[in-house]
Amino acid sequence: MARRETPAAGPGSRALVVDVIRSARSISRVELAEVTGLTQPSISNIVRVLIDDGVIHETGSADSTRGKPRILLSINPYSRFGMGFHLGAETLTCVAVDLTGGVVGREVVPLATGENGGDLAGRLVARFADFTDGLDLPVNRIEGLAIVAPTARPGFESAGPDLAAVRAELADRLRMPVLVENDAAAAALGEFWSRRVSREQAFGSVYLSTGIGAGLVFSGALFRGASFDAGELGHLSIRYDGRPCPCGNQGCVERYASMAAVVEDARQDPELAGRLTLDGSVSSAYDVIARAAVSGDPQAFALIDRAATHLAVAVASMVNLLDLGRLVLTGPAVASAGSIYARRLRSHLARTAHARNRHPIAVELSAQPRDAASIGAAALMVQAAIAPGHTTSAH
Amino acid sequence: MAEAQRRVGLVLARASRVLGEEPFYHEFIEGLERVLTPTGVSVLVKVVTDREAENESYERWAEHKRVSGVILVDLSPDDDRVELVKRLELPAVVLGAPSTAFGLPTVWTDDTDYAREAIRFLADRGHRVVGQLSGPLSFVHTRLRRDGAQAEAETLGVSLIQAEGDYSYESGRAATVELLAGKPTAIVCDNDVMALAVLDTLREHDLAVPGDVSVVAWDDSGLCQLAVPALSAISHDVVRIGEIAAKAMLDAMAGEPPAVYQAPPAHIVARDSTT
Repeated sequence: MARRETPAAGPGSRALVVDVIRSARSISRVELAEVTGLTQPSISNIVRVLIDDGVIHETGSADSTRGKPRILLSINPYSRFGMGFHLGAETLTCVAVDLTGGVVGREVVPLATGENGGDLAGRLVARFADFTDGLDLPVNRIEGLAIVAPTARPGFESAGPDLAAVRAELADRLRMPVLVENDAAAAALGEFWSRRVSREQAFGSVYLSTGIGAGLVFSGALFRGASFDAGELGHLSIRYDGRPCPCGNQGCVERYASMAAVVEDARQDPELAGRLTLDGSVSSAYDVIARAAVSGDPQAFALIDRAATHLAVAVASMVNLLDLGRLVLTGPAVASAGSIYARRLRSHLARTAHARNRHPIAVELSAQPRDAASIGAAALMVQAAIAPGHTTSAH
Repeated sequence: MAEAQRRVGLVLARASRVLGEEPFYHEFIEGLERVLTPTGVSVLVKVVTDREAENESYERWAEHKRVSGVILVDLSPDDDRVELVKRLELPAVVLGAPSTAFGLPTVWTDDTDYAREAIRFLADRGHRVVGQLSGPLSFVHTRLRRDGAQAEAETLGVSLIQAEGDYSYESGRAATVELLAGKPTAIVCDNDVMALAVLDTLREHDLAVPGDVSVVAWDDSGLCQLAVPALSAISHDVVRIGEIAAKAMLDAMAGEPPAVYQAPPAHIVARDSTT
């Protein structure tokens, strides 16, 4: 079917109106004109088209001091959907979200993506069909698919699948827009969209997983850098002579504060390793430590709190460099022990952030940290469809 | 082409926004997948807006053979889903009390007993008038928690006041005002979001926590831990409950006779919101 083209220019009036309605939750036409600076007639026209397209709907009225009830507008969540695929080492996480970024479907399936991955595009097409059939989602209401994966380490760029080729083939075979994005960046956009962050805010998210990444959203647009590699927070060094990192640098914060680093430290501690069951994968061992830490085990707490303290140093540098106003902590490491990281970051930023006396720096916890990257991918397609002008794809 | 994916279905009937606010289900699904993914079985989660749509999903899944089994949650007394999955010949596991499952396998957390434990925990700290802010009465587990709390309160000579919420923040605020009329010195809440509403409402009434009123939340979470003061909570290993449910599901898919699978015991994590 025919699809709207994403305008090459900056966000247009329609995108602006949608974005203001999204972040306001519900708003009247009069307030829309005030906030956007557009004229009443323009607002009326844009709103009419958006209602006809099913993107927004009227949601009742609020009392007005002038006696005439104001009709409120809000995003119509279930009219269209975005799809996100998160490529992990051995699994694929599939997510479908509605127009507010709310999850309507989710599935993790086994999928090898390495050298023996074979016809990756073909298998993703089959998964797409399988997933949408299972959810009974009509394909003509799906706005597109975004595929996210961790960025390759320097020197290993060609080890993973050729996502540019996969993207082109998928777009061709699914006959819909397909984007490729890095996981931490997508997670940031997902938090931005579903938390209704306003485009005026300088917004960032920290993605804590086996590694550490960050995503940045400025004026409602994901910041991508020269090669879609912006936000490599994990490779911000906090010690010039610190632990060596495979990236080539020393003292990268990832070597002190990632899930992998915490598990490594715990396994080297004979008492902790003896008391807690730390065999199995990094993520299951990490969850054991995290649960102990928040349930009152002082040693497990100290271990994660130390990781959080290291992370806080790197995050303060990021906040200072960019003058961020709001941060969300997300990723699988935040699922059980997020409160420890949030508390450390809050106290460290309150004490050290350069702009601390000019504005507060909010640090929040993600509501769906384990699925943040795939939810973000799906949200990217929703944004591209209903508030376009911000989104270009890697490759 | 890809091989057909063997999968287990989990339908959640609620607004998509609410799923995002409930850490319980994220952790439960994580546990399911730790056991099921290595066996090549996936978990398909579908969020629908109401129970009617939920039942339609089971019908379609069975008709097109899209799932090999389903997990049922939030059962009400005489729940029609139990009959439906039997008629559709879908292997099923119930997350809830065996009394509701009419012969289906269940993964059971002893809600009655934890409610009793929470009352005991507060009575031991000298509380004589306790408020209980429960979830919807249409859920079996809500009734078990209310009955358990009531029984223990009677045993210990504690006066118990009860109010109903729907797990949302707003309902928590309204129910707190209702409870405060009975002047409780402690409040137990059925989830973390309502407990946060209790903290905010008490602050507005100039009541100190825990000086004037102690607060306990059911289900620990980051929200509980970051609250001011940090909330004492009844903590379940929800990932482990998911792992047990996955094992029950694999047994059911293999045609094993239905059994009751006991969830690991919960414990109360005492933080700053209780004396």
